[in-house]
Amino acid sequence: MINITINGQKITADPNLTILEIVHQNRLDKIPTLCFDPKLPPFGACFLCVVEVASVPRLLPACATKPMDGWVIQTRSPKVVDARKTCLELLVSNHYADCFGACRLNCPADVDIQGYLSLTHLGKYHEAVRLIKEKNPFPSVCGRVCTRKCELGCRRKLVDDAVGIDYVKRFAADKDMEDDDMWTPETKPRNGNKVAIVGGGPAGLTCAYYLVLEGYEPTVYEALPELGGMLRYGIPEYRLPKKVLDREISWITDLGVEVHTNTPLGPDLTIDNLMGQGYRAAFIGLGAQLAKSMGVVNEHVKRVLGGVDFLREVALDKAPKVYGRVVVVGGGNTAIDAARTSLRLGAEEVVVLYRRTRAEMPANDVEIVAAEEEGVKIHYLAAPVKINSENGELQSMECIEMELGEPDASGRRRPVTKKGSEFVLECNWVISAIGQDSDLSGLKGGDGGDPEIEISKWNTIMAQEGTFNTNRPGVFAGGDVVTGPADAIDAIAAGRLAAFAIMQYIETGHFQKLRPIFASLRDNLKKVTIEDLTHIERSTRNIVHELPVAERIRTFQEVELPYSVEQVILETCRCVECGCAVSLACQLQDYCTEYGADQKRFVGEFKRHPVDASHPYIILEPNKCINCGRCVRTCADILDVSALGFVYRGFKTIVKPSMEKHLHETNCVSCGNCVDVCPTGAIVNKMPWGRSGPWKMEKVKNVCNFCSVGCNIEINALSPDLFYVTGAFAGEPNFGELCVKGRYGYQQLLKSSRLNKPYVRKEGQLVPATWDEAWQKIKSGLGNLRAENPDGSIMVAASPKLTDEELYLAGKMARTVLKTGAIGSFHHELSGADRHGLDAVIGTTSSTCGTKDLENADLVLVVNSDPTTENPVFGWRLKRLMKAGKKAIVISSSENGLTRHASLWLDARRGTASTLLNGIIAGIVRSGKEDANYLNSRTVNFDRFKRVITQINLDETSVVTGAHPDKIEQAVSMITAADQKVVAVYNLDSRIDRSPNDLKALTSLLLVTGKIGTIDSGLILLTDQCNSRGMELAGFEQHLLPGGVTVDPEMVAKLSHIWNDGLDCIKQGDNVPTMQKLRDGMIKGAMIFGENPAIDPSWAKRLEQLEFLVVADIYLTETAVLADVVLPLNSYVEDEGTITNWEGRRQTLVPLGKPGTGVTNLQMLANIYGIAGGNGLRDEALFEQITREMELFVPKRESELDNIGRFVSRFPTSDGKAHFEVYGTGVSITDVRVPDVLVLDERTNSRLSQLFGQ
Amino acid sequence: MKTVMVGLATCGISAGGERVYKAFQDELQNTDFVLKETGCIGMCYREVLVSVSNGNGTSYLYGEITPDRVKRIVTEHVIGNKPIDEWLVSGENREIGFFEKQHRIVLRNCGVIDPGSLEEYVAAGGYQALEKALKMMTPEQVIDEVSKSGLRGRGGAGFPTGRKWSLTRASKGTKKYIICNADEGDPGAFMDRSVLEGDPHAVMEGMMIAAYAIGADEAYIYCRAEYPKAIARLRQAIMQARKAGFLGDHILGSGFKFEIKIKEGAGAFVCGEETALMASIEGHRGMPRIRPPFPAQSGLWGKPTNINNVETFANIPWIVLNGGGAFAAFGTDDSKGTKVFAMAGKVKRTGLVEVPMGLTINEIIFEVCGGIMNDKKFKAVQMGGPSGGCIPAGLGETKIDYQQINKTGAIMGSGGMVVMDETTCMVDVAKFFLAFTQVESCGKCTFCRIGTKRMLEILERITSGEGKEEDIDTLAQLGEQIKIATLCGLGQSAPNPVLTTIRYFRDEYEAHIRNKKCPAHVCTPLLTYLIDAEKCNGCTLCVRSCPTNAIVGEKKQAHFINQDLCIKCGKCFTVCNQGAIVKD
Repeated sequence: MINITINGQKITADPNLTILEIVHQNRLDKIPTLCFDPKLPPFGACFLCVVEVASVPRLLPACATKPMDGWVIQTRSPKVVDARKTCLELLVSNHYADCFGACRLNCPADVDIQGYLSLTHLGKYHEAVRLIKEKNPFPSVCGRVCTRKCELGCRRKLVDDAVGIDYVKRFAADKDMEDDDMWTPETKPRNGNKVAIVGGGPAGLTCAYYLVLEGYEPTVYEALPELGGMLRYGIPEYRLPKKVLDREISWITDLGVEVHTNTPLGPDLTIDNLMGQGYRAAFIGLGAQLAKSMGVVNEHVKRVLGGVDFLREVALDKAPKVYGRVVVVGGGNTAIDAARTSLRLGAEEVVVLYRRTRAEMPANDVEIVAAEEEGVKIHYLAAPVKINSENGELQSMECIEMELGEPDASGRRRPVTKKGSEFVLECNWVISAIGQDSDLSGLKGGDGGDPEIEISKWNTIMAQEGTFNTNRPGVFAGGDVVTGPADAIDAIAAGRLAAFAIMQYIETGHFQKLRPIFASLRDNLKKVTIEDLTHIERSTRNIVHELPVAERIRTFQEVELPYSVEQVILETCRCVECGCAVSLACQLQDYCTEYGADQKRFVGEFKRHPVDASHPYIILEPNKCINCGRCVRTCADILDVSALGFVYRGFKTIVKPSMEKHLHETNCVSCGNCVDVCPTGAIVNKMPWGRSGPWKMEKVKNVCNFCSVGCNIEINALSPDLFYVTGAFAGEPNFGELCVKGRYGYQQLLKSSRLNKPYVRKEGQLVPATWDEAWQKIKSGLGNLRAENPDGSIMVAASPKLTDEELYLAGKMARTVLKTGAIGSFHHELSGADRHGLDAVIGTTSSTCGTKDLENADLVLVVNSDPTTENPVFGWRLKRLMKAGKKAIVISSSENGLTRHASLWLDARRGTASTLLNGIIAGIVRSGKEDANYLNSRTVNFDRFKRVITQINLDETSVVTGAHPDKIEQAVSMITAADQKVVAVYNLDSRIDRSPNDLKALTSLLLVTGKIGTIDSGLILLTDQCNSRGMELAGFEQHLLPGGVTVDPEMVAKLSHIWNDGLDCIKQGDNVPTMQKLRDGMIKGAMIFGENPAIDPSWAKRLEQLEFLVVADIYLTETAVLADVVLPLNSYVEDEGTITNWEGRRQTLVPLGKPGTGVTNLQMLANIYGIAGGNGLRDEALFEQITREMELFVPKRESELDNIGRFVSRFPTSDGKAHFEVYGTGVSITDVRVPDVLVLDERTNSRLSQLFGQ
Repeated sequence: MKTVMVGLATCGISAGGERVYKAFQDELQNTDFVLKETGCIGMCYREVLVSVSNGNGTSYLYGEITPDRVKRIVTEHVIGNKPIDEWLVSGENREIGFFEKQHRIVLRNCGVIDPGSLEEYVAAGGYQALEKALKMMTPEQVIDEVSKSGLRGRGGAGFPTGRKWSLTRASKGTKKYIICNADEGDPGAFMDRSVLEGDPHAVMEGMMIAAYAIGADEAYIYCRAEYPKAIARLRQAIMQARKAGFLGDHILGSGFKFEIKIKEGAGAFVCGEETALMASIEGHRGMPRIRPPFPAQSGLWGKPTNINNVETFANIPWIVLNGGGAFAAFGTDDSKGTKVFAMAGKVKRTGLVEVPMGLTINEIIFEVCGGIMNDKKFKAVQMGGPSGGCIPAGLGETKIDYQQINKTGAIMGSGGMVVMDETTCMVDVAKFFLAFTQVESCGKCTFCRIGTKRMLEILERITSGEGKEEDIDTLAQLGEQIKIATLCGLGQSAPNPVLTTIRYFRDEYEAHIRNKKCPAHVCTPLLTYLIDAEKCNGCTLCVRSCPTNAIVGEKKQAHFINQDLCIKCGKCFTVCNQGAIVKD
């Protein structure tokens, strides 16, 4: 151990650890790194992890430096922080990519627009609304009245029109609202902190919303009779129906916001007495609701109104009865609103007077167009000079024409009067809508009043930008009252940020402006132009339909009609997805935020590469690559594939496939481990649902179901039908690695053709049915069958993909209530696996050793398997061991993923592996190298075996197998070298090099040399199906009982007691294999769970002849179409239970939401169990009950193979010894049989497509 | 022996040496003179070099020989025995200074023997050191002798060779490698090439002695493919050595066995870095890796490996033969022996010199190399290639010594010296070297890959007149960060040319940025060509040479340059024989 000092703290550390490891293990700091990968040796490329060591002039990469005794290390000195910031700035200066779309960056409230467009596209309206409401609780309102700064920023505008973002938002929000199940957040438990909100407009309500979410207790004080502020009193009904507003407001207040309406600030309610009433803080969101005066003579005569006053009166149902000609002065939205409202109230003619031209008009363009359609006349370049009145009543208005002069401070050209152009406009009403002011009179308070809150010269409250605090402690302000009249979205943005500042203030007494999230933006490096978007096809924006003019101008009915679903799908597709699919899950972005990096500091040349989306599952975006090399090293060092590498030199260096290939043209194995290690968005998954995201997914730990390795996976789910899989970094068995099956196999489950309801056969046709109909049909079907046939005429087949619990229950059901011993799996039939080949030899046909033994072994023998394609994660591990020097003999007729790294590759012809193994055994025995002690103490029948085996000679073996005699002799000497620990690997389901009795020969070889049932030696039996081992342990085999034991009277008696059943079907000792019975026509009815035997025509023919067939599966398979009843199964991501991998590692599946079929697989089995006559298995207690019962046979533990191999003292045979069998040990050519089924094509891919029978 | 030797190293060949050789072949047919080729003699400024020996011990060296001069040499000197005085370089009053202060250990045979002849190498004392080591010394004694010599790695970093050897010897493992780094990549440096071309056996003998000392049996010479002549020489030498029993099993009857392989590099500068070099030999991309582990512990294919460069190995036989003490007698306290320098730039005598450590820069430039060309003002010298730095004339008294050179901000490097005079723009020089290292970065480290690019962009901006006031600070700051936060020597030294020029010539940077002027009149965008009306005689030469018709003026009257049209090509400046065109 060494003594070092880190950040002033003295530490005793292991000198073999790096600084990074020591710092993280001791939780001294979080050192940033982009290139370090715990699974790989240090690389030292990004230099972000640098630390400073006293007296060492250079900064040292913490990821690669092991400290020396006495070092004084600083992980956050100014020099270090500065270097890290520069490092990040250099990286992002060559990161031509957008973290977020310009839409989001333009949105004052920072709403994840691209995200909700994608969700809406997929019909995920609740999820879309949930996403919007992270930043804006008023999507329905904003979907109607927002000024749409997002659309102004939309990149699509470079091609054609901006995406109709706001319309999509309205659609999603309305859909969410129409649904009874409107999305509602969970609020944190109340924390007793009261906050007063003065003003119930968008700012105040938003503030209240985010406070109440976090458990704070806001109270809203509103001067007017109802909440909503300008949304209610400033925006007319035809633009924003009050019922929409009411719904969205009540949705907020229902979360627990106290409301006092008709309670204005003033003498009775001052900030002082609010703060005295126990409020920890106050938020002032008074808005700006006073109409500005025009400043002309006679402004205060009758029939001259302020715009906002007019609109408020209308909203309060006190609308003045306007008539004749109405002149509206102003060019903003209020002016247009007033004009259109006047029309609806009965005005014959409405003229808007605006002192500039259309181009400068601040009102929304769509509003102006709509107003003109409705007949509103707009008189540009004119301004009022004087009101002509008589007896205090309006007569006419004197106006003057204007022209545009020099630009003013706002950049708009200043209107100047045109001398002598005065004219008189006869009118009955004048509405002045030239701006608003805040009414701050209430703030002055009563006697003595509030201590003055600082007010600006524009009559707004002075509040700090970003934190919204006023000069008075605990008093915050936001919205129009601070900024002057602005948009609803600005007030919403302010309300939310103020809520966070208030919470910070209450919790800590101080507050800081939130550090802005770093956003890489292509425009920072080079303005994006139409040339960058040439790949985008032109498509015009979907038009929103409106009420016909004639219809709408006399009512206040909403003018804009919503998009249709079709329009929404088309419109969301128009989004060009500028933002990154992994934004906010990007380490580069996180670090840039943390260190305050500035993307523009080093603007210069940057690299631009085409995106490579050629691969079916993976997208390469080299523009985002930061050359950390994690993918390159993962692909080379972990997988030995090297599909990616560094290309070019100097600044141009980039990670991509060599020779300018596309990824799909390389030897990529589609494992996607590069995606998991990429610290930014340079390598991303291609999502099967079209849109790229970004997606905010919940992570659920689960277990892969595609082979017997049983890898830990993480389901990233938005909903049970929208998810993807990544590796879970949880140690054994896969340490975060996945293969193509584990990572992308899930895409099979997203098919729309999934079964989600039962089908029954009616008049020869399969038709959709309810569960009850299905149960009924099964009941009568089984009843008839059993009435007409003897016990044992029904078979139950199940896939080794089902869970342990399901298999156990299926077996119990068959043997007890159906009284049949005919159980088993078609899978073994289809793969031709010698599933019980070793039962008579060593008492079990399962692995006798585990991964630890594999690691400790001196020699590995690989027979009839290419784990690099069949069980890749296991295979890669084996390959790494071999590359690191582990000796291995591979017996394979053709080159496979391991042969290159093998110490010895014995290329026996196909189907001759057992001959070869026999030859090797003969060689060993003949040369007297067998393990005599072991053979004596642990085995029987060796002498008989020896007599037969020694008749084999080397030359014959060589002739038959094609393996060179020298190589065979080499194998003999390798296996028998002194003190060798030998592990053999065999795949039961593999068909490529299958030969009759090869598994027995392999086991005999291990027995002869004493390498089985001994520590660090033994047999690893892999299978293709994930739960093959679980099937045995659950006793779902004709001759096995739960616990995986063979049928013997003692066990049967025990089981009979527990199951409370005579178990005659077992006791009768029926030795005819189940499948044989089916073939021979002895089976009359069947239930098949999750298997598709009908892909084999001979089985299909048999199944067709059955009297009654029930099939449960996740698709309507070839087998299902033959059934009388089809039941929908849940897939492994929706299922509950455990599955057991080849090691005996029993792992728990965590279901993703409720079962899509409505019934869990286990409950479905339990129901059939009940229908068939069993009882006591129901509902919630079911799972626990089964688990408890199974526990008696199969104790749940992590792995039955942990630490030491199994059977080190005795084998699970009756006498505890291994029994040599004399199998067909000959060598003549006639013994060589080519396996029945040849699978020569790309196994992985064809397997994938066969998954679940598809 | 009566011989005529033609210098046929790459330098001689490129000056036309092969044609001279051919001419001698024809002319000498009926004489008793033997025609030979030899390696680099050092005087690149006088190529093609030919030496004529009459067999009585004296030899005459001719410079700047062309094929048409051959006949006269043969007639007058070879046959007539009368040296042609005006072509001699080593005769009376000629170039005495060039060799006077040199002491040739590494170059002892270059230009003296025929490098294609093992016999000549042996005759010159070759392989005696190997024999001595194998037969009379233990490996430890060899290492002791090398340690005693004070020899430091000549590749640039200057790590004590003896220590490196003993570290590799101490590493566990039965399989060990020797690597000779012949990936000489500095622009303007050709020391190693000249040694390989002129005396390949010396390098190999050094490697053999090293292998014996550390217990290696296999070696690679990593030589850049741009050195075809050197590679050919090495291949030939390896064959000769194998045939003569200097390579293979039981070398010189001892139990020592050794093989040398050549690996041709593809020309990546970074492959001169030892870990990148090893990656390249292993077939990977030439990318440096983190050290430790050092090659001495885990090098080529994970085995202990000793890497030295060509010049280091070439010193070894001499040290073993003459003793470490004899070597240590040369040089300073810190730096022993001699050092070969490739002299380039604005110096009168360019070429290869080998001087004892401890000479001053001024001595090398003014005494050995005869001073600055055209007697202009000495401004600075770039030492250590692109990784080195600029030493200003004011520090000309700095001694050639690892420590002293480091103090200036430059490094000894492998021996490149580029001499600059007053017409050199220091910003431009910095840009040149940085542009080189930038494209040669392996692309691994952030600071090297992007940082040097950004520095280069700033320099480009400055030299094109768009410099900003804060640029110098940014360069200095970024440069320091690149130095301290990159993995290998390339990145750690890449900013040196910029940092040293900022340190010594900050005023030039400021002139570019603030005044938008290049004081040395090098940076084209900052130049203005003007016509001095006093001197212009209106000859119209310039008018006719101007490609853009930017010069106007009547005949015999002062002309005038229209700056809007001028593209600053400088043609007028070249053609004007009145000196009337002025650069500003």
